[in-house]
Amino acid sequence: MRLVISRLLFIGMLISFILIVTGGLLYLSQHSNDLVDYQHVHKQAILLSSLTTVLSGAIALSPISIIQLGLVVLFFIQILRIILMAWFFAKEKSLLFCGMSLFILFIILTTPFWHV
Amino acid sequence: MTLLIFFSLLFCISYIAGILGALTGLGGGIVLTPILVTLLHIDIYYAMGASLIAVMTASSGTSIAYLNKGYTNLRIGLFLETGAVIGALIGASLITMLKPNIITGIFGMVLLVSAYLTWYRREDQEPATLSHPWAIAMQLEGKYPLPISGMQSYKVQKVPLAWVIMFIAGILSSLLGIGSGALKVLAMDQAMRLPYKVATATSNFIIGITAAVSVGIYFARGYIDPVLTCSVMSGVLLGSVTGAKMLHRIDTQILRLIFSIVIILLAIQMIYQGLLGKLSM
Repeated sequence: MRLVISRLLFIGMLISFILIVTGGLLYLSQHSNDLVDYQHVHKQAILLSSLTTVLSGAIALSPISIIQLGLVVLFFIQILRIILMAWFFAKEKSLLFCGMSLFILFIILTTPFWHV
Repeated sequence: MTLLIFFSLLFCISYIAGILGALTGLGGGIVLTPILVTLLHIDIYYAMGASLIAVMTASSGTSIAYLNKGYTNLRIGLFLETGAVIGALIGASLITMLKPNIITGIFGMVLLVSAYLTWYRREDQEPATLSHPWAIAMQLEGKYPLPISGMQSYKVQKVPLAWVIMFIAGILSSLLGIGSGALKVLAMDQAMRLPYKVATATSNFIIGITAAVSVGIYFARGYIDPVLTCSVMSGVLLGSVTGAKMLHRIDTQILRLIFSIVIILLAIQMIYQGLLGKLSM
């Protein structure tokens, strides 16, 4: 089990890293002399945060969207490793741990949709 | 400063944070957020978002090596993680209720506690000889590889206490945008009496999951800035992979001392800024 998860993490991180670095370098090449101001949250940032926006932006080769796609991959790796654990524990007939995995999975997948 | 300089600076800081995080079982987020806020004057919500990404990165990166080597105890990790996840949910709903300078102040105090805990871990403790009944029932005991050859088995104690500690760690993780690795390591190291490497590896494994719980909410609120996270993620990934490979060779006493000192300095800064309300919006 641990070796499969390890392999998943490796491949996933590689993809995520490539996406993020590519997007980052593209962005840097266009904006390297901009002055930075991160002292306050930019209001328009919230508009960029839906999955469909990210995907269509990435296809259009927008650097920001490529980076965001990399972040989405990073997030999904976490989900995938929990699914893997649920699967392996089910095969081992360890229902308690399979249940724990599924519980955590449920929480992670549903929280972005809860209105807090 | 220009984006290029900012980016490079952030990358280097993240790289170091990644190495330190990998070697101590902390996510590196606990060091990253204060530095971003106090040295680079980044808004605390952006800093927390970036640090959550860093934690997920460090967690995944280090786990590649630790899973391969066999230090991680998946059952203990999963069990404790349920506590942390529930805590993280509660923490996330508290974020909007507390003002930034209060969050900063809490953060500073958590840093001080982390510094103390990091220093307090002793490798020369007698290994536990008996396991808690729950540990036996859930088959939490395990083995880890010794440096030269063979496997060393270990016992697991105080299971319920460890779970409660993890619950609190989860709340803090969500509230402060950290992996709260320090508390997790405490739960495993001091309560359960796991060997150092097992606790470090297992903690590194689960902190990414805890961070993932909060990340969804942060992303929807626009706290995750792509440019910031880009430099942070790449730095932390390279740093944490480097750190994970170094674990068996480094003299951890020295490392813990350095780490504790750094954390104490940052803690003082954070508490000071929190008290003065400098970060109030």
